[in-house]
Amino acid sequence: MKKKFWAISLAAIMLISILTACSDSDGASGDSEEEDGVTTLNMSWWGSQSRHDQTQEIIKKFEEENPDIKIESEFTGFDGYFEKMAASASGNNLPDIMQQNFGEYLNQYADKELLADLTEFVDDGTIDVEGVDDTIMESGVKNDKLLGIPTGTNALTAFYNKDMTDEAGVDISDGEWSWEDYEEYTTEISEATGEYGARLMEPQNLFEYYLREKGEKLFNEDGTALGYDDDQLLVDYFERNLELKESEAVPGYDTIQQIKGVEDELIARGEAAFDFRWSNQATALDSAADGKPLEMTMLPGSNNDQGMYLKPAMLWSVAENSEHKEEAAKFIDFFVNNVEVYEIGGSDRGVPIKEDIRDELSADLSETDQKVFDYIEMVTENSSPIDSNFPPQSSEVLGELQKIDERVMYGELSAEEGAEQFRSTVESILAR
Amino acid sequence: MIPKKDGHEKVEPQHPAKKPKDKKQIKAVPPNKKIKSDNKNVTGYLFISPFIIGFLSLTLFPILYSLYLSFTDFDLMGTPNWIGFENYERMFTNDPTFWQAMKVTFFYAGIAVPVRLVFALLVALALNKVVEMVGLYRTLLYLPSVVGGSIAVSIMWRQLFGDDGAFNSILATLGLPTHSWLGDPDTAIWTLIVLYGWQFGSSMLIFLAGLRNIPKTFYEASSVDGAGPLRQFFIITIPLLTPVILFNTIMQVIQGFMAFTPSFVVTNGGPVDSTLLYVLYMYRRAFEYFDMGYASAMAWVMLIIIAIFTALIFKSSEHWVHYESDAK
Amino acid sequence: MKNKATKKIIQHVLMATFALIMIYPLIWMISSSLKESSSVFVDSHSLIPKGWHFDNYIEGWNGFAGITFSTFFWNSTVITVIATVGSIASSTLIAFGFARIKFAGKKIWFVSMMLTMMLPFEMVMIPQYIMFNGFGWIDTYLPLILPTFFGIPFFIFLIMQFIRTIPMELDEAAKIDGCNTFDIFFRIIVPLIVPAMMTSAIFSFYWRWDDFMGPLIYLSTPEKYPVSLALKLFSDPNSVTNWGAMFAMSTLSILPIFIIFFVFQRYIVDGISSTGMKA
Repeated sequence: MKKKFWAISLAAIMLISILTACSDSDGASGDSEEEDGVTTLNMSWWGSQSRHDQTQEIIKKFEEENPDIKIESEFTGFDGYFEKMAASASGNNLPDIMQQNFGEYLNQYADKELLADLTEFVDDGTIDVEGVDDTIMESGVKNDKLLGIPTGTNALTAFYNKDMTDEAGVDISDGEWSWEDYEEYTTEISEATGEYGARLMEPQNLFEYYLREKGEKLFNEDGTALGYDDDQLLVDYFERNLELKESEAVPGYDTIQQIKGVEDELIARGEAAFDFRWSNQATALDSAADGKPLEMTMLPGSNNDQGMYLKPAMLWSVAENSEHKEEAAKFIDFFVNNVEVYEIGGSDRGVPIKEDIRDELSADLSETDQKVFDYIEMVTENSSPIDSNFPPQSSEVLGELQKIDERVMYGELSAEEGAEQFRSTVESILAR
Repeated sequence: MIPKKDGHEKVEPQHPAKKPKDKKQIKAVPPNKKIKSDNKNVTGYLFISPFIIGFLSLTLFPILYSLYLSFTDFDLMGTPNWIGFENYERMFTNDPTFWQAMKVTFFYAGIAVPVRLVFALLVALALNKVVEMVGLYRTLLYLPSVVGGSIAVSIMWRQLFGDDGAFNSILATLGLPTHSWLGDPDTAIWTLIVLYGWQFGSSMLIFLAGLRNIPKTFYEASSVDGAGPLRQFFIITIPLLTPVILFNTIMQVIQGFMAFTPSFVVTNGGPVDSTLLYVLYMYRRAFEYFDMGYASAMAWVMLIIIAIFTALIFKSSEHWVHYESDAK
Repeated sequence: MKNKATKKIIQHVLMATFALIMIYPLIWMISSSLKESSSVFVDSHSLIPKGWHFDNYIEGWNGFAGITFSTFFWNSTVITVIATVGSIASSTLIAFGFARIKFAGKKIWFVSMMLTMMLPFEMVMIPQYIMFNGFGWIDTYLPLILPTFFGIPFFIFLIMQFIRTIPMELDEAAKIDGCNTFDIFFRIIVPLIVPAMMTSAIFSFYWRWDDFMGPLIYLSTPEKYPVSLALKLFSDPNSVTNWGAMFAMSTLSILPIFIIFFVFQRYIVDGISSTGMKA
């Protein structure tokens, strides 16, 4: 009996396994089917709890207005989102609408022609971007194709603790300060308050800004080499930070390494007066700062209007493999043009790209959002277009810069050696 | 106490496994009626058939495909182009970060693996002794392994070894100098080694199961022969535990070399790549630098290294692992 | 007698202290789950929260976009239980084949099995996705559950090692009594390796419960997500993360593992004495 039982169950396991392993490819996971004239779209995004809830609400609003379209959402946290998308792309399964990141991700998807060109939908008015600043729209253009519509904008920001600047008698609210001022103020504040004057500058975004402010670019036009010729620029950047670090006006990497998240940043704890980072982190910083008066202004540099730029917080893209590009475009149009979208989501996906929506919203904004909106207004008037010529290897290049910055700050390399090494490493990375 | 024991022994003879007496009985019978070898082949394959089917239908293709990718310039989303041994060449001749990651990983595995194994064995031995509430202790000690690679661990660990963290406070109360453990490239890797040692629960559990699998009659029999606890430990516990020690050693070597989450969530490889474990670097190459072909090549280099270590351990095990099933 | 009692107390004090140090992080997590979300970091050194924010548990449980954690817990339970049963049953069979039967080609299969453990999942994940996509298994539980029915190398090897500690004489005696290989497996070996099977079951449960990468790439409908994946939905490094809720749900997600362990470890301890064979 026992013998039979085991023989039969073994045979059953074998049979099932063969059947399931071979019964492939019927039904090839139809990602969109039409029933009763209803089109189903898949849409993916990353985010945190509030964004998931809000986006679902926005989708509901959209479906109410467009009963012939149904949106199925696929959302994840930021960790793993692009891994998931990479897997989907390998199976030709990209969702119809996807939240996309500006920079190397957009460029990578663009190079592989995975995203649909939205130009025709803008031309025929399906997506209404009338009145949106050209510099903003250009950030979604790659290889002469419009591959993404910004969900909203961000900008680099000098966050500062007004109590601490006041204590040292420093005023930077108008955003007019040079790099020399930055050095001076940082030292003064540190002396006056006994805390750090500033957080150590994070090189991956700030060195690029530093170059732009000096009229240079990180990469050349076609992204095949570094865009600046004089290594002295990077040497200066390193030396400025080194000097401040040595006088203990800014912390070294040993302190930075211990920060556990945005909410744990020195400025939120009241241990530094300046912190340069993206404007969309204002909400997180404010909520952790526990009432400390954090203000926003432009980054230092006498040409900061040339250095500053608006960056898409993220973009909406449509997959090339989508069978319902037009319906997907309709959703993007809804997102961009509907004030309710932003009433639900606030500035979670950046500041709205349309001015009339910004104006309409301004009446009932939260205090932080109001601050962010005002700041973006200020940057819009004092900025130049973003550089979108980043090569696919740019994350490796920026990673390399980060590493060299660490070694210089730890004193393992001199500033000159660091600048030289950065150039030679980048050349070999880009030559591949 | 004593009558109970007696009662226990009276039941024992029903268990042929546990009585040396019975053993002798079995040996007295000449081994005969050998099953024909092709019959054995059929039975053997029948038993392992689930594995073979799964291996051929589900596992083999991805593995071979990744081997193929290691000879291509696959960038995660485009079409892979054959480039021969270029990835391997670049790895060995033109990538200092690869060597750095290799160095870090060997250092990490070389210290963390023995530390965890010894720790797990010692705790298992201790838990095998304490009788009351042993279930609770066992559960509590296993729990750290359960929080695994969560964000909670990353935040907590950085809190623990931070400048004003618990670890430094202890040092300060003891009058010892404090240190910026995570911020110093020379010490950051040690925090990860401690983390690995701390999560010893799974190895401990296996050791415990192994200890419990040693029939009590062996100890009882040797007590009759007059062996003390220390002698019992060396002539019974250790030899009978060797199959499990072999298992844990091999699995820990594999896991140690492939460790990824600790440096991913706690230090993210920094400062200055001092905690850049091999698999973390590989992961970055694959998914952040869109260099999947190269990352696949890295995976196969690591596979060969682990395979060599595993083969060596297996080879050496012939000399020190004692299988009751092979015993004469 | 007195000496014995003191010894016992010392033993317990030592064990308890050690256990406390070991579970410090868990205590930390539970305490963080009761803190106000924004103060998780500022007060990260203190174990006692200022104010008890039990609402973190409610906010967390509410989940995302109308899908609550009841759904995620149910999904995890389904996946984990089926996968654990599958992997233990098949791994035990396979382990017996490898450990007890001599057959041609055994070595090659064993080496193949060991090698499959030496490639990180992240490296085979894209090819595997392509394959499962071809089978039409995307957005189903099949990629997460079905492979476990073909045995998990880790458990196969583990159970093998335990089988090899059992004297061969037992099998031979059974053969003389007229048992065939299947009887030997079922009536002699299985009862003796219950501790190893239970150990494997605990691991399998925990690994499935904790697995994040598999569900991440194979599931696309949020209603099908397990807890491990849902926990990641709280955080985005660039916007406000509800840390309190995340820690609250992390704490709850450990609870089933805790219970499973506490219940199953009994079988590891009692294994051999309570499951003696009835000849």
